[in-house]
Amino acid sequence: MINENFSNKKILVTGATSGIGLGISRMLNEYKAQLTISGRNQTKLNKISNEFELSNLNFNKGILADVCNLEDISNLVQEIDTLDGLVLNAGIIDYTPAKLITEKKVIDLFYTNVFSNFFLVQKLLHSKKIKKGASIVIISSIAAKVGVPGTSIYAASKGALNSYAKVLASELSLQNIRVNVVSPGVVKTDLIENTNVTSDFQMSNLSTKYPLGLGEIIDIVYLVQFLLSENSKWMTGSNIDIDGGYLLNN
Amino acid sequence: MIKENVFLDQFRLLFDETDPSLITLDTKFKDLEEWNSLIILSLIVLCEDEFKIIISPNQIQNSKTVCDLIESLESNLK
Repeated sequence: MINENFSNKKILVTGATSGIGLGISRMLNEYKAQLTISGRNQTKLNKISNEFELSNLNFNKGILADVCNLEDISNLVQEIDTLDGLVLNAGIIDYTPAKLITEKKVIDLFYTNVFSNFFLVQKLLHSKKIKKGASIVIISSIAAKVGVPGTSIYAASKGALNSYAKVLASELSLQNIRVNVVSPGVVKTDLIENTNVTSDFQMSNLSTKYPLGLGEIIDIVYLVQFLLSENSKWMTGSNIDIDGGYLLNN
Repeated sequence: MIKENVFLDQFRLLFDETDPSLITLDTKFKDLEEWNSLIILSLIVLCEDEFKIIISPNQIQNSKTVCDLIESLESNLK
């Protein structure tokens, strides 16, 4: 039986102002979680925080934080209470063939997708702000498991995240803190649709590679909901592909 | 304003197997044997990173020669 009572849970979602992060936040808000969201776009964050405050008395707050900025991460950690759940979702996508990657692209991408999570979790652990029995969910990508041309640094960043999660799960199991990874295939999000390259060049052919068609944000949200809930209490260190069957043929 | 020779030099670098001398401003680039989807992606990234111009795949599709491509790119600057 699915236990959907999040009202007594303090949960932080990063990258919460768009795409999958926003979908997860909306779900948690609907279930009256004591939710804190973070994002780097002030306008979006204010709009969503206002919306959540009106519909959920338990809503905690929206915190403006660029996860690439160590000071922002420190402030974020200072401002939150001890967590029952953490969703590490902040990330960017890049489509650059290996021949054309630049130092700036690599640094930006790895800082946002990988290093920011290292530092956020480190500071949370150091401040003892993750409760025993908490659940950490990391949003990765099936890109790390296949060889789609143009995704070298993005795929490498998600691969790094996958390895990190495995070790983190091992270290935190002693405190009964669970760490699981969700690896989605392509879902229709603003991030994907606004990427010039994907929207025109790849999207047209992309849906044919997914036996069940392209995913929707809600498909990912349900899985994250499960992983944050007590129903997944025996799961840690898992990396779950959710891809409409993409990996069956690739 | 895009300098034709600068663009042409960069465009040639996208190809690994094609003799650079075969690629001129009048070359119908999509007829080149090596033309493929990775080069299309590389061209899009090149335009964005080196020339700060967002080019759509349709613009590439609608251009026949390298010269057409430059004209199409310049139309994005207006």
